[in-house]
Amino acid sequence: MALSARQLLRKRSEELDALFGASPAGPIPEGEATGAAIACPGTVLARILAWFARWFCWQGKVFDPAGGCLRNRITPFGFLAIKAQVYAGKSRFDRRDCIVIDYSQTSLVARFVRDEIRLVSPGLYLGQVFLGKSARPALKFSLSFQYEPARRGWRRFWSAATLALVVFAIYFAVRLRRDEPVHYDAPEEHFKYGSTGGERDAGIPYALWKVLPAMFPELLPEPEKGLASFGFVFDPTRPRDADLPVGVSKRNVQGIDRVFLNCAVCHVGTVRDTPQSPPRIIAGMPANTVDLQGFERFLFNAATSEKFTPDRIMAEMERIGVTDDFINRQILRHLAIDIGRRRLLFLRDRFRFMDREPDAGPGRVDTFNPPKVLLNFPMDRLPEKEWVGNCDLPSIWNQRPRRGMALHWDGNNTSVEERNRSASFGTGALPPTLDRASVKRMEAWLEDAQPPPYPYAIDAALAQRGAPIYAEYCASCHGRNGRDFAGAHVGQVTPIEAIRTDRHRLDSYTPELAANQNLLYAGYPEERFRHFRKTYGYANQPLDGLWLRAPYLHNGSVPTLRDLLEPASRRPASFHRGYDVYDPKNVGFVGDVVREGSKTYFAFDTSLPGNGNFGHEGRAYGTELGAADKDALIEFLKTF
Amino acid sequence: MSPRLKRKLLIGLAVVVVLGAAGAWFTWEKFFREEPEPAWADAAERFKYGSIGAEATRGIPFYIWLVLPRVFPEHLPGPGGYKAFGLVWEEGRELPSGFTKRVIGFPRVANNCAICHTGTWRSREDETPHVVVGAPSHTTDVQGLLRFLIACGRDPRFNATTLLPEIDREVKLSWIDRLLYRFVLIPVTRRALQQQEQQLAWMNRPGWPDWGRGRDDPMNLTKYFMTSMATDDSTGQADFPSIWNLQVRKGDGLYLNWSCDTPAVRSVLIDSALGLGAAPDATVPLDQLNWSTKRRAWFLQRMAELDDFLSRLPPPAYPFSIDSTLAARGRPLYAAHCAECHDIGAPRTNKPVPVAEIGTDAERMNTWTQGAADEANRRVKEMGIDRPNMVKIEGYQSPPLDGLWLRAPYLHNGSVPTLRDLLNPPDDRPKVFHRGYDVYDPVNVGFVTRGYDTARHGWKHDTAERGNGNGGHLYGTGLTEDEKAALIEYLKTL
Repeated sequence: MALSARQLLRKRSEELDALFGASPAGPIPEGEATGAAIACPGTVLARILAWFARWFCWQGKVFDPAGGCLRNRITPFGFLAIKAQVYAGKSRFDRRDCIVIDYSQTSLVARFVRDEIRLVSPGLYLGQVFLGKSARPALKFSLSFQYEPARRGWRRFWSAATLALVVFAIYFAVRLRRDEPVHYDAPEEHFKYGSTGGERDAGIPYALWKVLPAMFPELLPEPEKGLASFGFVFDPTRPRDADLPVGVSKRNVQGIDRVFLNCAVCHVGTVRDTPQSPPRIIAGMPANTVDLQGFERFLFNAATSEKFTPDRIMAEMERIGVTDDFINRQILRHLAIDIGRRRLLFLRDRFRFMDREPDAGPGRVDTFNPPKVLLNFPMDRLPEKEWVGNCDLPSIWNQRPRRGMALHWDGNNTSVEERNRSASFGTGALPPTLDRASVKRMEAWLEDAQPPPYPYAIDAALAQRGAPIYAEYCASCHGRNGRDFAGAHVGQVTPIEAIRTDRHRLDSYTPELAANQNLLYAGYPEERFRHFRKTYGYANQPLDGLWLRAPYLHNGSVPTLRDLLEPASRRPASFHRGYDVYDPKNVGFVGDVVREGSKTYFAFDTSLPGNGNFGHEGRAYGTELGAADKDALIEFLKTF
Repeated sequence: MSPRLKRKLLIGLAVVVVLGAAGAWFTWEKFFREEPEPAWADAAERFKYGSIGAEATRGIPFYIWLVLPRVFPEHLPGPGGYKAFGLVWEEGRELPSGFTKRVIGFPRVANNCAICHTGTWRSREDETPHVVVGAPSHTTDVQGLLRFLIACGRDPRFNATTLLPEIDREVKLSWIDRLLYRFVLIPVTRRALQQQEQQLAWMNRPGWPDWGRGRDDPMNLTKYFMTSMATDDSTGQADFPSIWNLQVRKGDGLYLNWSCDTPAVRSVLIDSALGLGAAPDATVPLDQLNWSTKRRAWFLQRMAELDDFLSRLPPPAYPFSIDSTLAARGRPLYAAHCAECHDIGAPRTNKPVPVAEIGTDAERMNTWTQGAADEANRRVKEMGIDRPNMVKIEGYQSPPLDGLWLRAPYLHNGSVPTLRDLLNPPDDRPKVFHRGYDVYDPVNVGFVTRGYDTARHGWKHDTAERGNGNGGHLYGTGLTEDEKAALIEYLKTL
């Protein structure tokens, strides 16, 4: 009875052994045999395994008796490889005749393999595989000359397609999991340019960032200056991506380079000695020139333009030479630009409340109404009392001695670390996306960063005469000097009835907001916000680096120290912000320059809601001192 | 049976057993495993934030609860998330007072006694509110909170597509938890909220009087929520009471609740807690089993601890200045006109006064019937709890006046804002005022009820509305102005 390879699969292992033992060696064959691996014979698994082996691993052997050898057909593509010698020999199984397939001399990968075959039926050989010196076969197989070898074409095609698919899948899996910020070794550089993780959720594709100023010059205050017209600081010494301003970080997320803001956008400023001097960039200083609100409005207005379409944006990218690889171009064209536009329009809607308050202007921001937007408070139902939250951007150097002080202008939080994470929301970083390691590095720099000393002339004798005046009038709330912050009320909240400065910023922070902030980071119990509270006054701050923190008071309504020592009626009713040329005589930035070159400086009107320049005046605040005493006090303050 | 077939069957059985065990462990871990409560600093902390056992039956998954105000702000009465309901939310706390969080499989949020019995006061607008445990939660809009949750459940956007992205902005859920939220927790919560809508339909009947801040309809809640009686047309808005110093309410023949519906502190504590969700769900056999084997014992123990704490909780002393000379002149007036019904240990204190005699709005009393009492008693017995039975008595309770200053507005329905108003005849009492603002008025003894901020933070109480009437309790209204001033000064000392 003639057997077929398939029938062999159905026999049990013992039967096959018996069959092998009972069969003659048979002649050494010639040509191509169709192979079938025999594993778990007699079970339902046998055919599945045989199919699998044939599809992916081994399809048979091609015998060459003239050369005394054979080659195997392997891989889904059916390559001929793995050569063996073929000769008649004695079987290890029962020491009788068989045909030996010996790999030891001819194959590198299979040199420990020895096959033995015997003819069990016309055109059908049964084989046993021996590994190493073992006397028991590891595996069996059959070789059939009973029919033509199967066509290889389809198998090759499907194998190639599957392989290609698997390769693509691995490539995309790797690419889409990419999350690499640009790395900066130096701590201060990391502060200025490093990523807080905001790009992960809120990032703008870098290509889009480059294109927008080029595409919408009409929306820029100074079209030929690009984004610099919003007062962004460009640092030529930036080691990487010098085309991005300070305060804008870059991170590759899912294969696309994205940019977003970091802490430095609000806390790195500039100062010039004269209009002709180059600006000195100072990290940790309030970003006195940056008009963040103007920049936000630019983005929102661009998004509403009919030019904001993938076609036109991609064309503009090509025009200005901002290219990206093929995959990113497709993602941008078909997905990212539309998503970006929708996102900007969504934010524009949510931030409509900003139109209800006076413009913030450069160096200022509304700190605590945006968190309400993050929590999706219905902003149109906010009581009018809360609408205006504009306040000066603060300096953030020297945080170590500030631990435990009431932080933020109204002293609503006593934890430096929590305050940092709260501010990180402003850089787009949410609890799941915050890059904690990166922010820790920035924190470490903030702890001990020192403000630069006053660079202009100080009359030491005059400053000396100012010291006791300061000690009497200022020290208990502001500390002994610019480094020693000891004082009975330093870091505490002075009730609004006592300080009597403009209430709007205080009222914009509400018990409702404070309560809801307790739930931020609730998914990370160790990090949950616990220190926010509603206060009823403004916090007394140390005055380190005071010279660079102009204009003064929480809302930046008093341009110079000399003005602050005057009663409100004699302080300037209006002045200009955003100009970084220093005024050493009055200690503050020059505030009466309307225009320089193509730039018009922001007109700050103290009569608008939230901009009031009253308060911090009266006998206790030094506004009733004599002129000589005021001069001395100011001179002493220059040493801070 | 051949050995091979036997072996196959054994392998198959082993696979089934292993899969079953894995599935059982997974189910227990994700839905039933209880984590212990944190250690509470003291009994007051535990009162505000500790569990009374409501999480198993009525807990909302924490992350869903967290994002609901962010996803559905249009269903809130105003900005501020849950704070918009006037909840008492202490600094730095994850949850407002009266809210509990427990992990039973997944973290869940439920309520406890403090949601209605923690109050605040301030001496002026620019002040951090003082929190008083056991005080009526006169700022809290419980009905508004319930309506918010119902509105969310009814909103077609209550699904994974809307909720998960907002949850993703707060926390990174594991892929298993995401699947659980998508396919189990969100749909089940939605169904539960819609079920609650059915159970609370009676309070949303068009034209029906609102509870308002600091009030609820306690006996109708008991009737419809706990005992599932058919809806009738009674309405019984009532002020949240203070629950400090309960030792003075204990004794034979003494009654609690505004219309003397219950004879024992133990009963009212148990019944209130059961109503808040500590009771097992009668329709879920697993819940019943859990209750009878484990939860009941824990619950009764907790009620005993609460009884002990609240019995000994001293009432808050009046924080503003008291003119002791004037108060001394008020004392005999108090003895003559008030003590018989309000002095601790006096013959009529903690006992019913017939409506005909007291003359106050009868609606609250009419909500409770003997049938309702019987049904409530039967239900509680069914749960295997033994407690003194609720009763039906005609009349309103005359309570002791401990901590009276913080229990404004006055009368059972909170229809009289201040003590000075209460000593005026009803025609001279305010017809309309705003309640829910916590700045105190030490001159008139009660909360400030007029002005812009009261309207913004409060709810308008209209005495013309059904159940809100401010008539009756004419005691002392005939005194002279001087006498009234002295009496009020004395009342500040209680």
